[in-house]
Order: sequence, then structure tokens, then C-alpha cells
Amino acid sequence: MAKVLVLDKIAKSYGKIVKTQVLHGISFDVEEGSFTAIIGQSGSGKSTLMNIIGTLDRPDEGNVSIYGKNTKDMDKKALAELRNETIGFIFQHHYLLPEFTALENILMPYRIKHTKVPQAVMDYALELIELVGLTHVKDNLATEMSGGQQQRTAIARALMNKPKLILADEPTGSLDSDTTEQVYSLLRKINKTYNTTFLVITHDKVVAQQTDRMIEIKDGKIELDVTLD
Amino acid sequence: MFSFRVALRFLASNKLQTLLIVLGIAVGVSVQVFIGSLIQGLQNSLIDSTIGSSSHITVTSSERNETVADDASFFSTLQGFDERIVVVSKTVDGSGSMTTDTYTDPVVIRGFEFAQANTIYGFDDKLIDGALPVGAGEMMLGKDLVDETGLSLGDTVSVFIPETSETHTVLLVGVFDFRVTSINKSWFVMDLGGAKSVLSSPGLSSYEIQITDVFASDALAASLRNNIGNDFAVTEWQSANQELLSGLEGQSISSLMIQIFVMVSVVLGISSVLAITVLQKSKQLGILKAMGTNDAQASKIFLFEGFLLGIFGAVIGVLLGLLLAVMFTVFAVNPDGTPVVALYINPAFIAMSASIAVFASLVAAFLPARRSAKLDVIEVIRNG
Ligand SMILES: Nc1ncnc2c1ncn2[C@@H]1O[C@H](COP(=O)(O)OP(=O)(O)OP(=O)(O)O)[C@@H](O)[C@H]1O
Ligand SMILES: [Mg+2]
Repeated sequence: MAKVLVLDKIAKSYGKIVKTQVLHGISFDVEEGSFTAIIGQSGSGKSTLMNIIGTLDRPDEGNVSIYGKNTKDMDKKALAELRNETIGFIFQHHYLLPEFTALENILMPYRIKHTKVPQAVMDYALELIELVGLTHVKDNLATEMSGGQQQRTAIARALMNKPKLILADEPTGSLDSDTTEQVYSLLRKINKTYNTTFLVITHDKVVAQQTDRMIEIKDGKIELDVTLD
Repeated sequence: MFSFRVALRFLASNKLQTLLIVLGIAVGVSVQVFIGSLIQGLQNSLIDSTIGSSSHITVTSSERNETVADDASFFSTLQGFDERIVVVSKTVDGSGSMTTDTYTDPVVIRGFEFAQANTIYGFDDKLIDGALPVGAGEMMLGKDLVDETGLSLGDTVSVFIPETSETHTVLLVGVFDFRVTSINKSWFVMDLGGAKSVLSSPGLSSYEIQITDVFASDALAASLRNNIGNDFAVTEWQSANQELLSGLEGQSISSLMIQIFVMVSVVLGISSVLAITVLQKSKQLGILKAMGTNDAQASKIFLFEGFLLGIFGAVIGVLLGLLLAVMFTVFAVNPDGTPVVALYINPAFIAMSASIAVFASLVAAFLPARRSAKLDVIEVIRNG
């Protein structure tokens, strides 16, 4: 199977005067269509790693290759385009644009590249909003939705451009266990239907055990990397 | 266009702030429009009262007190000399003293061909009673002289010409009002033939010329001098009114200074508010960039904001400025109801003020736009 992602000895430290190394040479590959959970204690470096994988941050050392392209050699504009077309983000804090409605937020990744929204695309956006169960609040501003609704909107938005790779940082962080269950079965369904690759950070071991593969990070190193069935 | 949509929404979702900036620009533009129209109106009326009823370029004999020949071919040479020449008018001038039953007054006898002279002096409009004089037996006088002497239409006066020691009897057929006392008191106006015969002058005192672009008088006079030979002297209004012209220039410069300072303060205002907006929207910009908005698009959001603010501000400002102008002409009036200063509404000037405001707003948006482009996604995502 094709490699979506190849991480090669990723290292990252913070601080200019006193350097704290957060990631110590992390390497792993991710195959197309897989659903991988990343677990680890708070402060272990999961979000830092995720931001580097998503090209939002650059590693101090090592390479990130996405679909065989080494992101080190790409300029900011090319990276922006890569993110727009290939990667869908679901952030730890949900990050909707408060000036826009749920539907408009979901359409945003498409609008960055296209002036007009054809009917088929609009239908797809409505399908996504139905999928996350928010049709009744689709015209609400982001500020007029509950935390869980905002999180689900962010999930729908991540799917908008049919990205090959979805990076999710605790997508169910602020949801109750029933809704968490629903969201994961939704992500799973998308994973199966569109063969989308998922990389999901979670605290929840129960959730992690239901995925294809579980990587545990500890003190900036890979502690455990198991394939589940 | 993506950046435009986002700009529009950002502005719409922060209505109070948007309104305040738009008002700031609008006030700046309205001051410009109003002051500009006022100063231009002032200058126009000054120029008009200086040369509105007089010759722009005058051709006389180069010898003092000599006449020039009344020459039809020279007349048509002058007429065809330059397309900016509106009219050439022949005049004969001389002095005399006018005697009625009770008074004797010195007068300036002036003879015109009214067909041409009308363009320069507007006799048709200034005639307030009677008719224009025809031939050696008729003349018209100014309102002030008629009032002082108590003459009325149909009265005859004697006019003594010192040069020839002749006395002529002439009928008062018209009364004019130039709204200038010195003219109203001294001019004794006849038609050209009549004045020639009363003054016993076969020649002309001058050819008077009116032109379209009054400020071209010096250049045109210079080229006339070079072309019509040494027998003639050419004078023009600008060299005779240096003081007025430098006054006007000073006025223009101070008006320009006011306008520049107004624009500078508008630019600074917009720029600082937009810079704050970039900070306010940094979370949004971060998420947009994470989703693949590139730096150029991110900076365009703020350029569009500046542009939109400029457009709205300019439109409202022009309307406000015109409103101010109208109120000024309605409320600042002379006792007779005419405005103190007739404002000059110049569409080209207003369009220019508006475009400068839009341009200035774009310039003001430039720094915020750069900040927006430079904003680092990871800072925002991490600190969320
Ligand atoms: N900008 C920064 N400057 C300095 N240190 C930082 C910065 N960002 C993160 N860190 C440190 O890097 C380490 C990893 O942080 P990171 O956010 O990746 O953890 P995490 O695994 O996502 O934790 P959590 O589960 O709580 O979200 C932490 O010790 C944190 O203090
Ligand atoms: Mg984290």
C-alpha cells in the first residue's frame, strides 16, 4: 500500500536560551487508508508532533514526506496549497470562525481555492452537516452553537475538500461519552467510505483500542507502536 | 473572491468599529470637498470681479496717447490669431466734461461695437433702463451718475471735448449698472461710430480681446507681441494684477496643506485601527492559514478592508461635504440673500478627493496587510 506519510527522525525543541527538547527523533510511516491513534500523557509532545506533520510547524531536524513529497523543500505558498488540498485539520480547540455560520465554516476550505460554489459542492456540504447531525443549526453563527456542536462543525469542515489525510487533535475532547462514540463511528465510516487516512490524538484508551494502530509517545519518543486488529 | 468575502464579513461583523472608521474617512473627505469648493469659489469670484468685465489682453499703439488704425484686416488677423480668442472688440476712448442744467461732471467717453463688446462687458445684462445708444446723438450713463444728476431717459446733455474744444449735444437713451461705483459714475458710453465722431478720432484707442483660458493671457500676449510688430503695445491682465495672483497662489497652497494634513490624519487613523483588527482577528487568520489560505490571500483581506472602508468613507464624505456646502450657501448669506461666497462645485475636484481617500485607505491598509501575511499559524494554534 502507498505511504501517505513518512516521518524521518523528527526532532524539536523549544526555547531560545534554555532549550527543552520536546521531540527526540521520531520516525514512523503511515499507510493510505489506515486509522492510527496517537496516545500519550499530557505534555508528551503529541500536539507538537501533529503540528509538524500538518506542516504548520517545522522540525529542527528530520523530514516529513507527504505522498512522497519532502515538505522541507517547499515554500510557504506550496505548503498552504498542500494543506488545502491534502490535509484536513481538527484542532484540540475547535477554532471555527465566529463571523461565519456553521455551513459557511464548513465551506471555507473550498472557498479558499474557488470563487463559485457549484450545486454539487453545496450538496456535499449539506450532506456533511447532516452527517454530523447539525442540519437544524446550519445557519447559526459559530458563537451560537454549543461546544460539542462547534467540534462537530470542525469535523465536517475538515472533510470538506475530501482530504487524503485527516489530522485530529483530541476531536472529542469536549464531548460526552455517547457523543464521543458517535463521532468516532462517524470518523470510522468516513475512513472506510472514502479510504481517508486518519491520525488521531486521544487520551481515551478505549477509543485507541478500536483503531488499526496505536502509537504511544512518551517524553518525545515512541514508547509503543502496535498494530491492532 | 475569497479574500473579499472574508473582508466584507469581518467588516460586517464588527459594525460599530467599521462605522467609526467610515465616519472618520467621511469627515476627512467632507472637509476636503467643502474647503476645496469654498476656496475655489472664492478664487473664482475674485478673478471674476477683477477681469469678469474687462479686457484680458489689450492691443494699443506703442506710442503713448496715440491711436491705432481701424483696420479690418488687422482686426481679422487678431480674431484668427489663436483659437483661444473668444472675441476682439474695438474701442475708442476719450475724456470730456458733461454739463447738465445744474452740474458739470468729468466723464470717460467710451465707444464700443456692442456686438463684440457685449461678450466682454455684458451690456445686455447691465442695461437696467432704456436701450443701447446708436450714432453720434445717443449715449448711456451709469446708474450712480444718473442718480446724482437727476437725469432721466430722453434728457439731453452737453459734452465738451477739451482736445478739440468742441461741444456736442447728446441724448440719454440708456442706464447701465456695473455694480462698480467708479464705472457707474464716469463712463459715458456710445457706439463706436458715435464716439469716433464726438471725439473727432478716425483711429481706435485699442483692440480688446477676451480669451477662454484666462491664465493663458501672458503666453498669448507674448506671442501676439512677436507677431504683430513694433507699432503695437500688448498688455494683459495678469501682469497688471501680480498681487492678486500671488494672493490666490498663497490661498491655493494653504488649502493644499489643509487637505494634505486631513489625509495624513485619516491614513494614520485607518492604519492604527486596522492594525488592531489584525490582532483581533489573529485567531481567525491562523485557522484560515491552517486550512490553506496563503499569505497573499491573508494580506489581501486587509487591503480589501481598507479599500471598502475607503469607498464607503469617500461616498459618505462627498455627500456630507456637498451638504455642508449647500448649508453654507443657504445660511451664510449677504443682506440681499446672495451667498457670501458662491461655492464652486467642481466634479473633477470632488472625484479626485474621493479617489485620493480610497487610495489613502489602501495605503493605510498596507502595513496591517503585511502583518496579516507575516502572522505565524503555529503561534495562534499553540496559544489557542
Ligand atoms: N511554544 C512553546 N514554548 C515552550 N515550550 C512549549 C511550547 N509549546 C509546547 N511546549 C512544551 O512542549 C511539550 C509538549 O507540548 P504539547 O502541546 O505537544 O503536548 P501534548 O502532548 O499535546 O499535551 P496535551 O495532551 O496536554 O495536549 C510540553 O512540555 C510543553 O510545555
Ligand atoms: Mg495537545
